[in-house]
Amino acid sequence: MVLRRILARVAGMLVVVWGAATAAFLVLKLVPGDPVDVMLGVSAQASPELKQSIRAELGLDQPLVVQYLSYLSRLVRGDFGTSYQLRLPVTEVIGQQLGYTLQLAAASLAIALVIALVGAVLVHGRAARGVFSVLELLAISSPPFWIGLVLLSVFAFGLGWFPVAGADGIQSLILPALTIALPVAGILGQVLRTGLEDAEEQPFVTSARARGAGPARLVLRHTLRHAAIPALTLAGYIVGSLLGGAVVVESVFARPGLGRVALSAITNRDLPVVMGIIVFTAIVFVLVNLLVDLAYRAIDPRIHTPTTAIRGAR
Amino acid sequence: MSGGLTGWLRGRVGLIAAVLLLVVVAAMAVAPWIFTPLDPLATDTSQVLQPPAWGHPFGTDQTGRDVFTRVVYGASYSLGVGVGATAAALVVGIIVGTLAGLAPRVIDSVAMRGVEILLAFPEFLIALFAIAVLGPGPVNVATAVGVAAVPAYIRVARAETLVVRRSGYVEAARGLGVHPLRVAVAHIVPNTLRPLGVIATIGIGTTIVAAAGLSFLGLGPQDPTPEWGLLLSGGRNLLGQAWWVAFFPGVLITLTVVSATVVGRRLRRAGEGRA
Repeated sequence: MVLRRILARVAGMLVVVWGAATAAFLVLKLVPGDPVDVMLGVSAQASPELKQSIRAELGLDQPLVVQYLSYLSRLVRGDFGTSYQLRLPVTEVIGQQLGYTLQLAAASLAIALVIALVGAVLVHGRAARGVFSVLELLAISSPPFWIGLVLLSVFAFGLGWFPVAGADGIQSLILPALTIALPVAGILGQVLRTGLEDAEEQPFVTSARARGAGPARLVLRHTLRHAAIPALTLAGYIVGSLLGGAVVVESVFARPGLGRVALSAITNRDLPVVMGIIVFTAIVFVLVNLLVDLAYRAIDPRIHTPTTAIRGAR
Repeated sequence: MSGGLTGWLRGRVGLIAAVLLLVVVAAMAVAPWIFTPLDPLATDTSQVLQPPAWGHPFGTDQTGRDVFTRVVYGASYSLGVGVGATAAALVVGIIVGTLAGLAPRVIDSVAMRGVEILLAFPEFLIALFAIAVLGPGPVNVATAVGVAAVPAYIRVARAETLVVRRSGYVEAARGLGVHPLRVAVAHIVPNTLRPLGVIATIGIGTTIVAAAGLSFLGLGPQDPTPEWGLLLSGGRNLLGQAWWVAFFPGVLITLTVVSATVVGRRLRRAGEGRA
């Protein structure tokens, strides 16, 4: 039973990745313009024969179905094709830059969590909560690139506390991470606060208080757990914000990373890299959803399905 | 309810400010010449990188163009994309959502699976993928942010359709033999519009930020077009010498988006109160 459940889950995940890969393939085949022209550059004066031989080499002269099947079989083997521009395997292009973006995403998430938790748990009283909700509204509404520019101009150019550009150690990570973190913290903070306010009216809080739980214990053991469930449903959205934020922020702070790769691939119509990034994003989302489901079970014992109950009984 | 007028005002200061600001931005978009006598494209080599002062309230850029004038003229593109793309997305969302809500279960659930997957991504990321397909350009930016906004409207239009289709008056119209298409257009769609209007109001703000973000990345209009996102990216390289070039366009984007959100949330609360 457990095995079947796991298999069904894995199959579902594969279907989503396959769907993304297929959609990317189909849609990008509709893109006007000849990829060979992109490879050679606009200025190049290549003979039609040369172009034809390149096309044959890439398999672009094959029927669409054949191209699709060979694309899928290469994907399965972990071969995402070769970048038109950089003449490197796409996996290598992504692999080289992945570390920078992962660092940025992890730092952003950590900062956002801290700000959101502090705002939701420690801020009490009508006036303070009002001020915080206005700050959250501002953080959500401000364009992330503008937040980045303001931080740069105050803390890098003005005060000189941080470097202006690049990715060199923790110093250069703080401002970009903060830029991505602020809007995320705004959304998370709103959801956590609403969840906490909602939890405080639940009967389990009264019973916990009656059993003598102090305010800190009440929040940590009971209400925060309750508030974490709606916050977790945002996980996919937050990961998306981290990735989308990376595109903008890496550009603002002149940092290397996946976002820069994506941007340059989009501007230069480097289709294999674009497809690789779409498939990569789909894989990330599928994995995040899996983690979120597991986290739900850990947080809320009521979500135990019969299978996990059996597994727990063993 | 004490204090009469002042009490009424106190609860609505934010709302009034938001509406006023939106009116001002709309006026900038429609008639920018009311706000500034200058030309957004006119360069002036004697006025390069001047800090904010009386003649140039937002300062000047590296070619002596007045930043205030450029921000004012930029409103028409940003607001045009915000309103235009949102309206187009709303229409597509209503059509697809209503059809999904009326379609057989199988079609409905397949369509909704797709919509749910799209909704898991922030609009900006979807708009970025759309640009990857469409290619850069000012019109494509508007299309991309419109496409990115559609799934949210589909979901709400479908959910409302599911509620309305079981109501007495729809049953009655069906029973009278009214054509299904007419039932959809005359009875179902009008009753789904209020919740859609609320999210569309907030959506205008989201769309403006997404479009400005794509322009900021150089995927939309090109210099010397006065566009808010583009003004910011031009200001990026001047941050060390002239903070004002990037600062003020961002203030205006933020204020516009905050205003749209405040108005939208107010509408939502009003709608909930009535329901």
